[in-house]
Amino acid sequence: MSESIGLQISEAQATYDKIQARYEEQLAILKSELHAAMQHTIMLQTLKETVDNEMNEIYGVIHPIRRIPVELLKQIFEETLRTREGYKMWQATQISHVCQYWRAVALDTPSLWSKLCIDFRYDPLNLIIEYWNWMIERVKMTPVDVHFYSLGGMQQSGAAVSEHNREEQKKVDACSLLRIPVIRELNIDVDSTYPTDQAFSMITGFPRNTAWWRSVGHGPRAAAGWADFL
Amino acid sequence: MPVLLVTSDNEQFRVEKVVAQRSVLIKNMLEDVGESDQPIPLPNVTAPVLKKVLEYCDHHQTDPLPTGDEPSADESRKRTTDISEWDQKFITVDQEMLFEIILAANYLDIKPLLDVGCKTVANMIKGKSPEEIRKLFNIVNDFTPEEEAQIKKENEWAEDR
Repeated sequence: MSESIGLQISEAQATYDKIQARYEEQLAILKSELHAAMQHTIMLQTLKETVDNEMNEIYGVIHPIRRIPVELLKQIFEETLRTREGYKMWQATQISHVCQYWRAVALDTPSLWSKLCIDFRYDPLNLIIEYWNWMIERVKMTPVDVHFYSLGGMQQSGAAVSEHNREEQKKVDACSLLRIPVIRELNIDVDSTYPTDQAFSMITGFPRNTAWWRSVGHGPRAAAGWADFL
Repeated sequence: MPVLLVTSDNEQFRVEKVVAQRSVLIKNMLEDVGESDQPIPLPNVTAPVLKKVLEYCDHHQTDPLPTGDEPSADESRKRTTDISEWDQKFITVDQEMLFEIILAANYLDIKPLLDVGCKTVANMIKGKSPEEIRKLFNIVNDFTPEEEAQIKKENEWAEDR
């Protein structure tokens, strides 16, 4: 009896194995076909992107914005700056990063660059030097607003004070106000960790005829007349 | 007295003088030739664009005319960032027509319309990354690797400034 059951089980197992092998074979074929189809889809998508890009390039040549004269493009660029105060430099920079032509027009529109901002706490000396040079080239004769944030930088506890002062003086010297033809407004915010008088004494060579402002301590809104300080 | 305007595609538009004179170019032409029923040729404007421009002029026919010799008034007009509801609806057109209107307003010397057009394009650009702007106007990125490196540096500076 048990032998007969064992035989039936092994026959059933053999049948099952055959059926399983057949299904696995079918499954492998389907998997392979699916893989090939996916590869083909990817290839077609890449091809579509290439054709789309080529079409866009061709359309770009006749796009109506290309017919806009330079002075109108400048006006449009200036209009984009009528935005939140903190985003003006960002907005002008984005425009100058679109293509060579827009960059040339943007760099030749001084009003886009009329706000110079230096953060003495975070900006390293080498980048301050580079930035100041770019901006002086761009502002030309347009009146500019200069913003010095955290003048004097953040004094680290335990760090050598004289070394910090030398570094800060180099940063301030890199931002020569005398290189700017017309300063409309100067906003100075002294870092809360730095002595105010000492911070101001680092700035030498003040041009005249400017609506001067200074702000004491941390926070540019705490402004007082510059003349009072002098 | 109506004025006859002829477009580059030879379409004729008969419009009231007060409407046509929103264009400083046409106003000056009319002043130069005096009372005349001679048609005024506008070789730089097509009929569909002029039709649209005249719609603007008709709506704004009673607005005070910009004098042109007051730079401060010119500046204050430009500084007004808002576009009126009617103007906004009027300028809601496809890009091709938008730029055609700007070019026509420039040629016909209709400063308030030119401002509306420029502000509309500026609003399309505001807040967008260079890549998004390129896509918007089908502009090709043609920077050299050296220029790309400079751009990368400038981007670091532009954050929050």
